[in-house]
Amino acid sequence: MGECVRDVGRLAIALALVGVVTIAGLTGLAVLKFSAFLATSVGERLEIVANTAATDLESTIDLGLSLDAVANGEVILERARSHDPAISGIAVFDLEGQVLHAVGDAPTVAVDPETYDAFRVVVLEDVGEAWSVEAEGRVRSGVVVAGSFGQPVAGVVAYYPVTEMRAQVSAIADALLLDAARVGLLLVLAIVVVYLLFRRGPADPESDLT
Amino acid sequence: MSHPRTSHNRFIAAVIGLLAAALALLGVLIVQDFNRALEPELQRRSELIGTTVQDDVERALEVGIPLHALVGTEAYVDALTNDFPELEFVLVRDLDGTVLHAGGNAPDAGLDERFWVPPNESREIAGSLVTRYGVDISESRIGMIDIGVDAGSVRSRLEDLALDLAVIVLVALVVGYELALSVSTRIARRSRPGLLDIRLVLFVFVVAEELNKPFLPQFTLEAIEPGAVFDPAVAVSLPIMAYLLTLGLISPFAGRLTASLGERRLVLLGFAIAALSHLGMVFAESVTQITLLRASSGVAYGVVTVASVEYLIERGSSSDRMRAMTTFVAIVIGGTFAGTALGGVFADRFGFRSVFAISLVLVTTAAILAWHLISAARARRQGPAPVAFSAKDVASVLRRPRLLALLAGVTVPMNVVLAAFLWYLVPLTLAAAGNSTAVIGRTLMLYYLAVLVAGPLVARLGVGRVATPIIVGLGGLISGLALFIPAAEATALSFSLAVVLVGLGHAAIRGPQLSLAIELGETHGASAGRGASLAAMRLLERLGSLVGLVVAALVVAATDLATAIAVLAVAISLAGVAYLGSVVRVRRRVRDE
Repeated sequence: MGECVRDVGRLAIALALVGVVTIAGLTGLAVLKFSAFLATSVGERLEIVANTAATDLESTIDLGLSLDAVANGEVILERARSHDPAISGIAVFDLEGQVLHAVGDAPTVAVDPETYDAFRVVVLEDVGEAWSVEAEGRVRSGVVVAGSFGQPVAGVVAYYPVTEMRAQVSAIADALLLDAARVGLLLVLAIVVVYLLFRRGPADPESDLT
Repeated sequence: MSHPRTSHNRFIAAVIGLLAAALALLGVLIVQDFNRALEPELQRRSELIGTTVQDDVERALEVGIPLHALVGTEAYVDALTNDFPELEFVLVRDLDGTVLHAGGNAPDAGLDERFWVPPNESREIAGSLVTRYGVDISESRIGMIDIGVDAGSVRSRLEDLALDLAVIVLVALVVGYELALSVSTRIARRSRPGLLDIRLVLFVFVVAEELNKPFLPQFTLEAIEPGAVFDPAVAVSLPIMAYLLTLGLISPFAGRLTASLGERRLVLLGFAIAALSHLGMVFAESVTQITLLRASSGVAYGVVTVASVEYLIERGSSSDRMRAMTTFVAIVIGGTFAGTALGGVFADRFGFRSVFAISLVLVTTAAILAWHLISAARARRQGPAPVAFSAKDVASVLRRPRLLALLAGVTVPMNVVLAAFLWYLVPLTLAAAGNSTAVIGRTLMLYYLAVLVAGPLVARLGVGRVATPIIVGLGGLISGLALFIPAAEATALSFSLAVVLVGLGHAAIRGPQLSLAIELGETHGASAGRGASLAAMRLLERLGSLVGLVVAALVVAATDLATAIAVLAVAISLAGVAYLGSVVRVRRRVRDE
């Protein structure tokens, strides 16, 4: 009987550890989920801004102008950027990835490979009209600029520094850790209570027969 | 009076119950934290749409068009709603509040006084979140714009997130349950290797193998080069076909390999192959590479699962066989459930290739666990060695009408539904409709959840009054009929419903059909006994599912995804009806005799 109680004691410790590990795992996965959701939301928000600029650029194309000849390209991009001050830069680039107009900290010669690859996937595979990628500390979301006959002629990409996103993820991680610590503590206490109840069980004269 | 083992089990059950409650509580707290943190972010999107419209109107006025003379508001709003589906209407008013222009689904009540919202404020009216923006020219206000956004859009996105979290909580519970059982086994039964030794090893391996399920078709699609030989629909199915082919071909011989190498060595060999395959997938660039690597994954999965089945069966008596098989199915389903759901979450955040790196880490973990947990078990092996498999066994199975009926009517159709519907058509259709990998993972895991929950109930039913052949026949029929739902309307909801029903149908098949096959094999003498029936069935069911997948891919290439689902629904339902008919005929004949 003594060994049985010792076994239950060991079981209690081991299971409490399993509980804490599982709670930690759930917390980690939840932070991951939050960060994925936030990245998608920010990407979609950037898409709106890029879309605004793309619509204006398409109007100029409809007038017969080529994109590199648009004199107020930077003005169009700045106006779009003013809708969301957190956006650090916007660029318009041609089908080869060469930048035609740029504002803020967007590249001025050629767009980064991550942006161009995402743009190519969208254009070549005809999967939607927008994309969003996160690389090297920035979220990049863009849309395709369509010509007068609907054909892709360029891309607009908006850049957003991930520092703000990271701060939000860090804040939620702190909050979740606190919740996890509380729940973990509750669980351990509950396991201790159950263990004590089980240990008291054999005191019953009938149970002693085992 | 209580036996120590019973006392242990009660204690373990109580702690697992507490763990479930703790995880549920934490899930609720996380949802609350998420809502608090994300609502402002989601509101910003609505505000951004509003300021964009405001800016566009002001720019039109800047070129000299008077507010009342603006034209094309309706077309403008229609174009906007294409980009922002939550946008419901736009109302342009003068300073008196008179509506000058309306676009979108502006309710008649838009003219109502209730719609009076103070500038720069939002108010929820008749299901719309209405925000009022001023229209200013040269710093003087000349009108107002009301932007109506679907109030439920933010709520539904948060609800969607809560659903994802519920899935993660369930995954944590399944993982916690497996960990608790494994730890408890080591403590309570430390001197006696038992059935549960291999449990955690197999579970971790299956999780690793299943992480790619929600996105493998999409991953392959992205690797297709322009001008490829195969139609994209067929090319996407190639890695799944290769996996099924090698899995089908290796499985019958894995039993003999187990006999010569032992479970532990074979399991470790399988892990080594799987690890190399996942490593290759991290860098795979073409459909050919992906196909070859998935073929090696099929070999790994085949040898590991067969070695595990042998391990479980060898340690159980004939009467325990059903329970052993149910245990095996439960581990595989639990691992597949967790892997599929986690794969969606990981892929959403880290991208497809990183998920294969995570699989590599998990397979390595499983190998380390196997090294420690099943080292002593080999020496205690009992019972006869597995029967050697040969092509004659396949012919022998095909000659037995009842076994053949089970194969053609239930086992093969079940595997066809798995390969063609669940692994191929569901991810492709949902991805084509713009759903995220997490949503695809969540939909697929519903199948495994249904099997996990309903499986034990069916096992209990099987040893009760209802005859096993009837149960598996009905299961097959249900899984076929369920496919008519997404065939009629391909929405995320219809797919979820169909996947759950397919899962319930397969729960009635999975454990019982294995035990039925063993029983039918044993009733035909030692020469074609358990090993031969099982091995032949494994080969035939996988080859059958392969053919089913090829047909489905060709139908997609020739028509579309919905037609392929409809064809599958008809074929599987007919197979179920035919099998039930054969069972009823046999029972009637037995009763007459």
